[in-house]
Amino acid sequence: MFFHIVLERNMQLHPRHFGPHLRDKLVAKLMKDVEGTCSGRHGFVVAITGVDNIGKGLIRDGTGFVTFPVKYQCVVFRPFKGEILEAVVTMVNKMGFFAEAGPVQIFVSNHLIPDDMEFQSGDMPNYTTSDGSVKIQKDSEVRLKIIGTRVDATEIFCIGTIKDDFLGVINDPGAAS
Amino acid sequence: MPRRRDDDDLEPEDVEEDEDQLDDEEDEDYGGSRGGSSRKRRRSDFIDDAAEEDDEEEEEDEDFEDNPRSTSQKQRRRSGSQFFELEAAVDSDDEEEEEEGEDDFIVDGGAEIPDEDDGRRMHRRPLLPREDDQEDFEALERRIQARYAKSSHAEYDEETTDVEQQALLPSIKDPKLWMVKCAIGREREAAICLMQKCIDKGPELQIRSAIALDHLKNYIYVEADKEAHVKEACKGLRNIYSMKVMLVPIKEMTDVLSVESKAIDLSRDTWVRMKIGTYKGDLAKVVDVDNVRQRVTVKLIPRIDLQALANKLDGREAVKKKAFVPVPRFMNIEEAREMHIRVERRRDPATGDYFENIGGMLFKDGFLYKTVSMKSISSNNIQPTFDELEKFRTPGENGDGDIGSLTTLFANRKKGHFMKGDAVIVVKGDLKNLMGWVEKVEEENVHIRPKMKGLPNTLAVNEKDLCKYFKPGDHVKVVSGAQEGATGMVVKVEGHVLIIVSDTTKEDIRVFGDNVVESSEVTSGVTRIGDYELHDLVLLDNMSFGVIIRVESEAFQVLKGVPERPEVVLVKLREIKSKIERKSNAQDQSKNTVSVKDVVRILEGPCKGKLGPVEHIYRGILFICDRHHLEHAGYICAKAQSCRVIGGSHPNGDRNGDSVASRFANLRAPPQIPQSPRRLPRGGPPVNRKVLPSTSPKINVAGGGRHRGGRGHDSLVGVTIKIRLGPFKGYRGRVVDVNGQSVRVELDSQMKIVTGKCSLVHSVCINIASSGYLVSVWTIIVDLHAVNRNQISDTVAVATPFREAPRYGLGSETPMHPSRTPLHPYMTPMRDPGATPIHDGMRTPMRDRAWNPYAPMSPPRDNWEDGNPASWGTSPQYQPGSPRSRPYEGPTPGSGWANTPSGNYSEAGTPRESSPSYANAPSPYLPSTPGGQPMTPSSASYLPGTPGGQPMTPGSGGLDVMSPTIEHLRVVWIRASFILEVGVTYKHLLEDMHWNPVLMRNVSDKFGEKMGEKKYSYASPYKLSNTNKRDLDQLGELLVVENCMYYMTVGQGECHGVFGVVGRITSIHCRPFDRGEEACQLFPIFSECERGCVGRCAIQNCKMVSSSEVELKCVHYGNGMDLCYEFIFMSLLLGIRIHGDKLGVFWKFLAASGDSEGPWFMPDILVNVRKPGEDPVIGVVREVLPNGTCRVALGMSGDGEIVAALPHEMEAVVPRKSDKIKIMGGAHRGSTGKLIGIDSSDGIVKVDDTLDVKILDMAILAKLAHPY
Repeated sequence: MFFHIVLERNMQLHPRHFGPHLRDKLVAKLMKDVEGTCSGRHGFVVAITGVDNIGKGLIRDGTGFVTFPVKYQCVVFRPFKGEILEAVVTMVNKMGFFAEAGPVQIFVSNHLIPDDMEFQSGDMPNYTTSDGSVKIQKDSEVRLKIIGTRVDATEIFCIGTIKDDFLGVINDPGAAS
Repeated sequence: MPRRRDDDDLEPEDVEEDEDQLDDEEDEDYGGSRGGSSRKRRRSDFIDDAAEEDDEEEEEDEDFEDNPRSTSQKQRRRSGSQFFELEAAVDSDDEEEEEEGEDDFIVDGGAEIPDEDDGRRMHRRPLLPREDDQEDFEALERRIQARYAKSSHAEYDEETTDVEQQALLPSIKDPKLWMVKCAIGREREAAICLMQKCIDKGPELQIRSAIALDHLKNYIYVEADKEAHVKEACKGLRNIYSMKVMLVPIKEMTDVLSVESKAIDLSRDTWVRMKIGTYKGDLAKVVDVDNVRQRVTVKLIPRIDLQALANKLDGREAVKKKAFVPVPRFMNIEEAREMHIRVERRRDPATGDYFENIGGMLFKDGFLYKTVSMKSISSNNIQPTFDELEKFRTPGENGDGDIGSLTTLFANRKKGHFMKGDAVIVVKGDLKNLMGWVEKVEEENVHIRPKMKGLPNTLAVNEKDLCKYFKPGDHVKVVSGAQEGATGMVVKVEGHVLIIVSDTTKEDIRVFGDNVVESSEVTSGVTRIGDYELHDLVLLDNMSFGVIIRVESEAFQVLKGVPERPEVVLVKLREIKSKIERKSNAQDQSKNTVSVKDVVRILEGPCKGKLGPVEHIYRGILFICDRHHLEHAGYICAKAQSCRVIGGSHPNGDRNGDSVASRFANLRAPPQIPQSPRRLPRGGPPVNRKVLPSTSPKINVAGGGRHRGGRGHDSLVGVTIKIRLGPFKGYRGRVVDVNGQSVRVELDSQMKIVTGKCSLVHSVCINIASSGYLVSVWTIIVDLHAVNRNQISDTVAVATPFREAPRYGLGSETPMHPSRTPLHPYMTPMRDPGATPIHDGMRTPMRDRAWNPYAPMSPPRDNWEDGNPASWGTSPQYQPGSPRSRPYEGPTPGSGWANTPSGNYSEAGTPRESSPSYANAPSPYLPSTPGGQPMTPSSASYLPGTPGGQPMTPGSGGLDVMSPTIEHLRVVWIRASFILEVGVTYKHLLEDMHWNPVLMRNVSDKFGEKMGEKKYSYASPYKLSNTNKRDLDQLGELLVVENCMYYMTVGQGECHGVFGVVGRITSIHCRPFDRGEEACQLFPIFSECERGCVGRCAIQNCKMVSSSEVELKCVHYGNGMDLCYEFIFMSLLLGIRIHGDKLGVFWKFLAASGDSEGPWFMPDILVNVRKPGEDPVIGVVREVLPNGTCRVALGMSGDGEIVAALPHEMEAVVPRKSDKIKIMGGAHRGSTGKLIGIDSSDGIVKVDDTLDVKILDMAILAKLAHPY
């Protein structure tokens, strides 16, 4: 789920940036530092949408760096248990398939794939229903439900299921082509 | 009955005990032990055919199995049944858990000679001394109570209260238990011997009992009041080693004899394991329990070899005894029939079920139904594995066994299984399927808070009716069972079984819900068996090798080093020959060196396109770990040739440079070097150079020194070092941790981490302004007094290049002039007003593309551009050579470097016009070779003696990088006090930086004396106080280095090696040196390091130019010329740092001086002294003074008068074959050896300490004086 929230961060700025464009530098650095990171609490920071407030800088003794408390608005993405997401399949193997929804990797175990879908190995491993009408392979788009999340320092890993109503393939690249 | 505890205050119990004892004795007397009880039964119960049959069956089994041990035992017992029985008696006292097999044997024995046996026993009994007999251990009593409580003496249960039990515990007044060593495997024999001795000797033997425990090898227990009694008793017994008698602490006494609680709560459907026989260890399920007869009927998967059975039934003797146990397999009746085995179908009268009876064995549904003694099964802590349970599901049975197994599983739960807050579900009873959370756990009952509304707040539920509840998505950790330690996320719950996706392997694991707990921890489970750990590179049996990608319970999965396809084999521990720990390198497609941790991309093969750090290299095969590769734990095996190092050169760019030329060519190219057009052809005489321009390429070279584009570790951590002192001397290892001055080193050769101390902090000086390239390297020697860190030195694989090019030893000339050149470039950066040397790029110089010389250069930065020229202008003036007359004069303003054409240079300072070497300059195009010589010399050797009037050629500039000049390094010594922040390190490996060894060697040589390796007489006053340990901005530790000498090397191009620890100088304070002793101490080094310098130097002036800059002026005088040096150190503006940790010191070396050519005399060598107007006299150099003069003791053995001689007045005596020599230069400088041969200008030398044979230039060999 996406959230637009306000976060705060202490930015350390090198003295060489001090000057008329200090603010710009600070914002640029903020974006560089923050966007794309992941925290367990807030999830992935997708984008910074604005800087609310830059506090007074504090010069660090001994280094000359200055620390600015910066309040910024950003869009974060955090997957939740039970959330339904659309994701792109990135890898299929006999244990299930991996899909990605933006920065989040989701694993759908074969236990969580409907029983009528069977793993077909081969050049393009996939899960196919017995009648062949539905096929999950790499680059398929699936709708899945997250049933578990594991949050590491740098990534969020989810377990998903497509064994539920209205879940499963929503767009099959194979079919389109 | 005489009681042995007459004085006991336990009289009341005693009576009871007595009875009990009697009871027990009776029992023993009658049946002799546990075997006895069964025999007794047998006698009375002969009616029971089935049981009898079964027993026989068991015996048969035993026979069939017939392992040698049992036969021998049997024989032994039969022959010496007396002992045997005795032993049995003892056993029964000590050891409840007797093996059924012996039980059988006892029965055998009993059957053969029952009466006699009993009779003997009866007789013997009275002979036994009371003490021995009455080893009334409370434990024993309790056990007996427990045993009989169930059947006949149930009332005891009520009677023995806890208090009474407590009272029975041994106290200090009781005899003690002593542990005595005996021969392995002879424990029982030893005990029996003691017993026999006791019988023979009667009361004079003062021990009370002897105990041999089955589970305790090598020891027996003896009960006695005093140790002396034990020794006395053991005296003369061959099997007992009474040398060491250990007292068993009172607390542990009961443990010695306590037995696992015998209260077997066997009920139907319990899982048990067989303890003996063919089925030993097999899982069995209880189908019937006969508590009275202590027999249990269990259901097993038969292990029957039908063929053998058929043979047997046919009467054909199975000739060969099977060494193997048949695999468990369901009995196939049809198959049996086909083999003409008679199968009877019988109905069991009790249950009404039909059983197939084959040769006395009962089968049903393929299972074997077997009635065994309760003792032959173990029911405690049975944890059936999944596989076993799976197997137990008969084809017909569809998993209804699950509930049954559950009950057992529950029964075997550990205490504290449920914790508050656990989600549970009720699996039995009226509340079945009720979910809830554990609120409180009492003994058996668990109070749960039900999920459902309308129920009381908490419900007490029996623990056994509860089951942990997990739902898909929970993150759990397996806490017991085969998969213990693994973590993962639940994807499916099948009743009691969870399917978990492991965090590490992303594979499914099936575990029992009982075995897991909810946890957010992420681990991989077992990662090591024996010496081998997950992800180790191992050598397999058949000389193949691979990486362990998975550790299973008893085997490893190994990804073999076959690049064509991923080949995974399952290997047992013993199939692994060894771990491969050797670090090797390989060459990638473009001939770049690939070393471990380099990031490579796979260009060919099945895993084309994958990318990841190299984890192992072996025989040109890389094991790459790609985090996104899910198979094989992310490991990919690829040929080195089909990979490319990321950040490496592109094909045909020779990054590693066999030919430096190509590299330089590269360097030249960068367009941003404005002056490039002006550059001279490589190798050409340097002319007209503008310092500034040349800078960048050179720096490039320097910093570029390549490196490890992808490697990101900035620290000494990871550096390979060699330990030079202490017990681990000579070991190599990797630094795993640096803390202050102590360094933890993981030894390569042993799986061991040792902590050492290091006296050398290698610091890297970085030219920040030059976009993060490393410009110069300096080394700080801290604290030679304290032993800190001084046991470690970098492994400097003693610069091979140097050895290879011995001639440089002579031709000091060439290297020299080049050395100067580089200096200029460096200056620029410092001067740069913009001086914020830290560009973004710089912070991470290592990773930065810019860092890699091969990568295209980023366009010059603005500040760089405008800063430089300007700065040059302002650069400190350089006074080429101040005449002696005004040695202390400040620098003459005027000629900035920039303007000084090389020509000037030579004119200016050097008295001697260009030496021949100069002409040679271009020739030695070996960048790597030369530096060594100049660097290495010891202080003494570099004596000023020879005024080397080598002109400094500032001119060549960056261009000259390519020229041979590269080879030279300079080292400058400065004394200063400063605060150094250590602990932040660069990770640069020295391995392929051939120049580094020079530096390092130099350092170590100089302090070799301290290091215990080389013998240089020079010692410097270094002091370091490791104070102010303060964490400054997470950078590391602060060291206050007081009055320390440190030296810097300056050189060209590659000479600016990259290595070592970066110390960040946070403040610096230099003070001038006097001309006195200090100066002398200082500058010998100076001149030594810098070969060109002769004579003494003194710092004339030193001031802090700014907070970040120090200016030193030194006067150098000697050999008829005085030169003024000016150094400027800039510790960067405080607060500027690169990548958080590398703060360079900028320095500038503004002076040039005459060069000396050596030779560098050393003490103890024979020289010819030619004083003008005198005949040459032979003498022995006794001492080399800082100013270059030597004190020479005249005479062959140095026993004559001592004269002072200037270097140019001396000439080393050329050694002859088989003379003892001393090496005056090169890598082995200072070593002594023997000249074992002469090959024109080269001498073949056997070095004394290493016994290596070296070929060295004769010119650096001097004859060693005979010891006087």
